[in-house]
Amino acid sequence: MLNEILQSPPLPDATKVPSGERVYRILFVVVFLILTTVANAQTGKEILAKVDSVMNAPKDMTAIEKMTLIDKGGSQKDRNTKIYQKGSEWRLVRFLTPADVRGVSFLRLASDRLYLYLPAFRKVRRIASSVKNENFMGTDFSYEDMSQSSYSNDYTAKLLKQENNQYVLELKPKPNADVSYEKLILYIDKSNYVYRKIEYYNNGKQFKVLTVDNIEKIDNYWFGKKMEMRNLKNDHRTTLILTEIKFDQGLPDKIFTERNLKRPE
Amino acid sequence: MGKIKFILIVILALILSPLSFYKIYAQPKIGGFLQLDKRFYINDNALPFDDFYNRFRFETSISPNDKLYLFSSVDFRFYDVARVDELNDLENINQLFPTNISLWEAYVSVYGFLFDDLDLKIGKQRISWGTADKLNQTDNLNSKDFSDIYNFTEKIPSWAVKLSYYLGDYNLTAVWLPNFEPVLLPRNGTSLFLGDALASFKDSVVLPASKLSSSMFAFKLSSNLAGWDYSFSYFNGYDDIPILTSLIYNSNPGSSNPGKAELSFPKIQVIGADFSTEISGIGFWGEGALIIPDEVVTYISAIGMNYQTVALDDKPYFKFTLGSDYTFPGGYYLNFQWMHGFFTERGSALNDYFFARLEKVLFNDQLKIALGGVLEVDKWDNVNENYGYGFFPELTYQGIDNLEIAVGTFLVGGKPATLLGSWNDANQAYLRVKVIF
Repeated sequence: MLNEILQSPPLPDATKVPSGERVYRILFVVVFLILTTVANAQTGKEILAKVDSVMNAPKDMTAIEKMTLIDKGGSQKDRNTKIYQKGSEWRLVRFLTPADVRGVSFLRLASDRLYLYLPAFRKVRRIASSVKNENFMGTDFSYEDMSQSSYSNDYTAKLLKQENNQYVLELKPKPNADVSYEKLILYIDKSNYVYRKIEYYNNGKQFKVLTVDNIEKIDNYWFGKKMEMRNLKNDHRTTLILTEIKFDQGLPDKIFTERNLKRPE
Repeated sequence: MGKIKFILIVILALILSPLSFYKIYAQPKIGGFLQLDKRFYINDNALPFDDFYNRFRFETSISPNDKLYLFSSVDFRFYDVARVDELNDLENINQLFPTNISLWEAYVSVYGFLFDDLDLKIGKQRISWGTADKLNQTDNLNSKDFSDIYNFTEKIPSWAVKLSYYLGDYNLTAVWLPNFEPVLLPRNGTSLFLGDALASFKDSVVLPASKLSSSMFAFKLSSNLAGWDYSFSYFNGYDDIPILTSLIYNSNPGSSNPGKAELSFPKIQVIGADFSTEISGIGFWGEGALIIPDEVVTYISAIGMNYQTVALDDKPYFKFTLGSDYTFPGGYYLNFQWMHGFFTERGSALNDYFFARLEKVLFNDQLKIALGGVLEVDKWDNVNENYGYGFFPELTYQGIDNLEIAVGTFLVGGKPATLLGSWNDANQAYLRVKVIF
């Protein structure tokens, strides 16, 4: 529409246009630009809401997750976990291998209710959320990355551009948001609102990047089956490959309890 | 020949039948660890205790169905120091290479026993209560394992029947411990925990009678309210640290044996409570134990005179631990705990211990540096003469899965009257290699 206005038949001679009409046209363009800007901001917010909505669309999920930690020299370590997710808040991660973490389980009931079961001590230990920006069990994902369920709650979004059939959003923390990133840049697939890449910034510099691949529609939900988090500081990376993904099985609440946390797989 | 073949077939069938059972009904799992722990005394006048040991733990588990879980573990300890006192000992491999084997845990868990929300766990098991990090005042169900002074917070699993009932956020646990099991002390190192006043006496220890009325029981109710996890508990049983109940001095003054001492275990009730929460990202926890002992009287006989004194009165006393932890930006983890009343302390003789531990992992979690320390204060009105301290730096390599290699020291000191001061000659350096499988 803006183009139509700007491409409306040129005025034959500005001096011949009555001054009232000229003011009206300029005013119209200015108002349109303001409205467009506002509309863009809302679009960023709306896009992020759709991302959250896609991310949290399943009522529940279970999957087997293979984590591969790869260092700068290429040497690898593997971890296998089983994950249970219900709604946007509850998550249980149970380590299956290797032996030194087998049976270790992590339960998230809220952002400030995190529990770790340590089988060697037969004990459930509550974890303070100050750990959220630390690496989760040696991976390049932080506890915060592993439990992030809604970006809209914590960040404001601005649509930076659209390219390669992707929306590019800039996310900045809302005042008092309990997050550890200064800025995120999200690349979102326009066709399904699944984020394909996230760039993480702190102190004005990008230091991590997440890429999401193997996006498939499983049981009517779009889902990325492969993720890779790369730490740009030390060139260490962690890949996650999800298999045996199942949605909406009606997981009972009691899966997300201390009772189940201690229960061997 | 036919007979031998028949026997072999029967034996083979017997061996394979459990495997067939597993193959059809469940997949058994094995695991465990090998821990090689090389210790060295630092002081020249080191204590005579030499209970340095390595460990091999072999665990098996099987879940025949989703309601049943069986677990057992066998603990092998093999000691660093030969137990040689005389020539004959050199002829005995068991004296040269002392070993010990024990069934560490063996239990059956039944999930949904009788009804869905009730779990039963029966057998030799570790029951860990309390929210503090290892310095638990309400964790009285398993006996203490002081066999390694450096790991004085360890516990030994006990034979127990545990019922856990879950109702929403509430969990009610009831435990029955049919047998009493006393503390395990370091070989030749009893004085480290119980003092050396009785060292030269011929002593005897009297265990509670093995009858139903001597069995122990406990309850715990736990829940969560507004982000606070809390629990209340009650324990009725015995203190696993013995106390002097009889002392008979030798009537012959020329004898090298000053007399006989008898020790037994005080009956106690413990009313406990604990909590854990977080405020602004800082973790907080605490647990307290109000201990109500039965009175213990010590009978003393010396030079034809008999009298008695109260070794432990029945006045309740309160022990507690408060703690906090926080992970600072950059990955520096700090843990602080205040323990009022060490495990061996009771009655009015409770001292204060302040533990702190700072950890930092480096090189993609391949290396962990930990600096631990403790300050003991026995009398606040005269701290200069009543303090003890400890410093426990440790460097751990964990760059390969299932392998940990650690080096560190256990350095303690202080005024001789304090616990840590009395451990002054137990200072150690160590190299520990642990492989988990």
